[in-house]
Amino acid sequence: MKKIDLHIHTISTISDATFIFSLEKLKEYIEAQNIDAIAITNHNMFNLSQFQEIDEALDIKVFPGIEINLECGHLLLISDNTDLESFSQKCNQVEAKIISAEDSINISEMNEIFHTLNNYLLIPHYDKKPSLKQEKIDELSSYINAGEVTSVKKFIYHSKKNESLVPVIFSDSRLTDEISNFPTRQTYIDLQEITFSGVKSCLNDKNKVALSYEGGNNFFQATSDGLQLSTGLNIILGERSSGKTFTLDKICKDNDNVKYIKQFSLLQNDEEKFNEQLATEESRVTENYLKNFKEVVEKVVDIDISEYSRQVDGYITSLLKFASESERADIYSKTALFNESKYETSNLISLKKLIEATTLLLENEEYKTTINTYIQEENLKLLIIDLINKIRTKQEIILKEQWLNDLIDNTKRALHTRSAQTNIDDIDLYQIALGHKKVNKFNEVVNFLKTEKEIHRKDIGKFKIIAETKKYTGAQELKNKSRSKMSFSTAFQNYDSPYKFLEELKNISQLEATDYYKYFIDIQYKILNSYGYQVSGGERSEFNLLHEIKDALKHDILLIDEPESSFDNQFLKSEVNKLIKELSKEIPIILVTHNNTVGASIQPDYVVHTQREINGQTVSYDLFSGYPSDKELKNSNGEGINNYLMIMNCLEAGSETYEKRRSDIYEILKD
Amino acid sequence: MRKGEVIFMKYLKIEQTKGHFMSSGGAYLEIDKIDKDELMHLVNEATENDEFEMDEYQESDIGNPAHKIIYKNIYDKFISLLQNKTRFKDESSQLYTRSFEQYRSEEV
Repeated sequence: MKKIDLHIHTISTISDATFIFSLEKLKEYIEAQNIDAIAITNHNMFNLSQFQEIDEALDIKVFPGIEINLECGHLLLISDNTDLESFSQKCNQVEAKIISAEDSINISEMNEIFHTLNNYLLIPHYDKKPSLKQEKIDELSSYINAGEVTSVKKFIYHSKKNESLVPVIFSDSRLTDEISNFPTRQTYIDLQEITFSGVKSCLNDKNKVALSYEGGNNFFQATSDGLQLSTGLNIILGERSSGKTFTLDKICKDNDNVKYIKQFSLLQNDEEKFNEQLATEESRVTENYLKNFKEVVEKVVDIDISEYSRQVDGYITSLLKFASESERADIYSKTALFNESKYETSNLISLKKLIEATTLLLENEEYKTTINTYIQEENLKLLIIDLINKIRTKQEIILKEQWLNDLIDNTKRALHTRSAQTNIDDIDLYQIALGHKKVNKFNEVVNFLKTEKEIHRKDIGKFKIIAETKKYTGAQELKNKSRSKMSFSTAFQNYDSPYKFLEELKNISQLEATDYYKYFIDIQYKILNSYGYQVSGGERSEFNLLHEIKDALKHDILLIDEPESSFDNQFLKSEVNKLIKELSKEIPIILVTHNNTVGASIQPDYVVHTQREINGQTVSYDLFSGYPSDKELKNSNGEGINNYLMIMNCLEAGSETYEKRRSDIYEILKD
Repeated sequence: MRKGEVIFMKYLKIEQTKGHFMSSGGAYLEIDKIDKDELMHLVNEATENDEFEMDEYQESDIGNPAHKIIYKNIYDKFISLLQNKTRFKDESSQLYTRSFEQYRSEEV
């Protein structure tokens, strides 16, 4: 087996954060990780002289390469070492085309530059961002066999999936003097001697790539100092202060996207805090449920009904006064423009929406055939031209109206100042009527919203999460909701009249307008156990663990430190063990435990035993690992310890105690 | 008025110390009768006809003070409009230029 890393950056380009490459660190990295071949793959460029310098300085095979921005994804293109001058010139052509980090070239441009793609090794970002789209991979299918992924979990997923490319995992590293932890992302290939064609042929065959030297895809390198762990379920055992948590911390540091459930983190007896945490976790449900209502509030918040009333009062008063003063009519008040109203300009929303919809129908490529089965493209084009003509005509009228309103306004003002007669106030009755309609609708909507009901239900293990709407019952609840010292007592007096209530919320100066919608209805969450009752303190911790473990699937590795610190054995055995076992089929899990229920009954795939070594002032930790069935667990120096004794010591307080307990207590109990 | 072959229509004129406008019905009416719809008619004529003409406003030519106010306001505003007659059309034809050009040319 050979270990390769074909994705290494040595030059800071426009696509990288600034870094200063260290050749010394690269040497250290290769030595520490026992790497047999690397490729230098900078973004959209190849620096021949630097490559030659690196190649000369290293004893292993170094391939020239380039990471190309291709069709908005990334692709590694790696060459053999036969004609570096020619490769360099081709890469210069790529470099010339990529001016900014967002630029990319297309497949035909790549073809033009590199001609015979068969001569190269092409590895796209596959389950890794920015990935090359599947349709582009299909287009290049004669040249692409392997795809780069970011984690052990994704590597295993694609190696099991028939239609997936051969997964490879590389460091994508930028080695600088500051780096202290070397990356653990490399791929093993089944090859005797490194040659370009040999590597290429291995990357055509899923059986020839692996995550570990001997264990195929059942093992991976978990830490930069070489700890191999199972890609399934691992248990770390050891006495107190023997380095278990230290080891978990190191794994966490050396890997990306890790879910780490720390010791005691699940003990959550404070009910209020628990509910708060739950509400935060479920805020998506709340946001989703109130999303439309939020928009409703935004539409109503600027409507000022009392201002409308004042305007109407003013209008009626001026109208009556104008009528009663008819004897005072003069040459100014008798003109048509004296009481002329302004143009109420219409909006273009519906036409704009129609144009957007037609554009969508015209420009959608995915369902083009379906769309054109019912509406011919020619007709859509005629329609969009017609709609654009209509909107332009309407816009022209609006502009004229606005222009005229200005003229009418100025003329009226001049006439009013000279006339002895009262002028009639100009008010927008349409807007006022519309405002009232909106407020009535708003009241209806809020009253409907206030009907208390269940809006969401989700099962987690034996628990059910239920979200229900609840009316606020006092000003204090509103205050709690705001998490502030603001007073809601005046507002709450109007809680049953939604619009008035909104008006009062507007009077609370520190309250953000974007949050008004939250105060009309509360959404409360409760967790029920399998009997349908509210959960107890202990059950809350159980729920938290199940919730956290389910959340782990979004990550690439799960670390759990002593779950028993929060639970009783029955729960561990019946729920947690089952869930962890199931989950370990999808994602590598590393579990630290002292508990015999977890440790002995969970049937792990791999066991690690930690021991503390004290040499004078320095403390170091030694790790012994092996299969659970192994008689001996071994450390990196090949030294072994007895597996059975170790388990007895860690889980049962020593074999003597265990034997005594078994014979004295358990047997008696059994009888 | 005739200038060569083009007939210039007078839309605002001063006669017998009063202001008048050409109404949408085709008759001259006194300027104190003008309302917003008639103003709109004048805007349309000013922007679409090359033959739009107005009598220049001279304060001394008009006796009726209400006519003075209305005539002056309309005259001043239309003078600025005539200097850029295509302003409304130009501004509205900026809407959806890309789609319009693309699909109109494909259609052709």
